Amino acid sequence: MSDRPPLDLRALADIEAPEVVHEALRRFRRKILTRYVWILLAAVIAVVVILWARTPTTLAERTDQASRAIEAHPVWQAHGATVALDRVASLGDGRLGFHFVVIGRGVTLRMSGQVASEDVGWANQYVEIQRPTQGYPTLTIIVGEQRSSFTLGPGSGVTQAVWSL
Amino acid sequence: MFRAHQQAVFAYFLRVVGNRQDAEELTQETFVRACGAAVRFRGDAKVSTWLFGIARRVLLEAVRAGLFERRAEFDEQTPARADDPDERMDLERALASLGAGDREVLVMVDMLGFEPIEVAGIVGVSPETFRVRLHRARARLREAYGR
Repeated sequence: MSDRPPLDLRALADIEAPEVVHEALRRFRRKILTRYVWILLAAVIAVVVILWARTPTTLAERTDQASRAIEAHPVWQAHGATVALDRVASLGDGRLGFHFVVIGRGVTLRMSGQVASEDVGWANQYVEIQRPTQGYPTLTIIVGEQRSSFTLGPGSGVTQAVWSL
Repeated sequence: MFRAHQQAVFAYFLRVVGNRQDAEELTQETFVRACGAAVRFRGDAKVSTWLFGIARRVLLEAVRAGLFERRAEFDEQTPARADDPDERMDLERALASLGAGDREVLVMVDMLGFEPIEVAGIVGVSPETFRVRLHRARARLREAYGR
C-alpha cells in the first residue's frame, strides 16, 4: 500500500449547513401525532364494530337479552297444542317482546297489537307487540282452521308486573 | 445534541449525493428518524456513530429508490469555507468525480474524522475490507486531484 499521506479533506466539511433540526422535530411530532390519530381511529372503529356485533338485532335476541324482563310461565292448551310463556321483555319505544314455547304441529300465535313475530328453531316463537294503552292484549292460538283466544289479564296466569315493564 | 451534528451530517450528504437540496432533505429525514430512535439509544456507541448509522440507512434507502444513481455534481452553490479557495475547489471537483462508494468512505474518514474501524462498523464490513476500500478510494482521489 502507498505510504503517501491521504489528502486532507477536513476543509470540505466547513460549509454553511441549513437549519434542519427544527423542521425535523416538527415533522417528527406531526408523524407521531398522525400515527396516534390512526391508532385512535382504528381503536374507535374496533370498539364500534364490537359493540355493533354484540348489539341484538333479531326479535329473539332483543327479547332474550333485554335487561328489563320478567320470567313468567303460564301455560295455555288449545286444539292439541300447548303454549307456554317463557319471558316478557321491554324492548323500548313502548314495545314488549314475548317468548313462547310451543308444543304441537302447525301452531301459529297471534297477539293483539302485534308488530312482528319470529320463529326460532324448534318450538320457540317470539312476538313483539305495542304495549296496550288500555285493557289487556289477547293471545290467539291457531292450529289449522281452529283458533282460540285468551286475554292476558288478571287470572290468566300472566303476572301483572309485565304491563309496567 | 442534534444541532451539534447537523453540520457534519449535512456535509456528509452533500459530499456524497452532490446537491444541496437532496442533502438537506436527507439530513432532515435522518433527524426525524433519530428523534424516533433516540429512546432506544443506549449510549453504547458514540452519538456521532449512532447518528451516522441512521444517516447511512437513509442514504441507502434513497439509493435503492433510485434517487442518486447519477454521479455527484460539483455543487458550486455550497463551496467550502477555506483559506485557499482554488485548491479547495479542485479538491471538491476531484471528490465529486469519484463514485458514491469512494466518496462516502473518504467523506467519513478523511473529511469528518471518523476512525476507519468505526466506519467499518457503520458500513457493515470487516476492518480489513474497509481499509482496502479506503486505500483504493484515497488513491483514486489523488489521481483525480492530480497533485
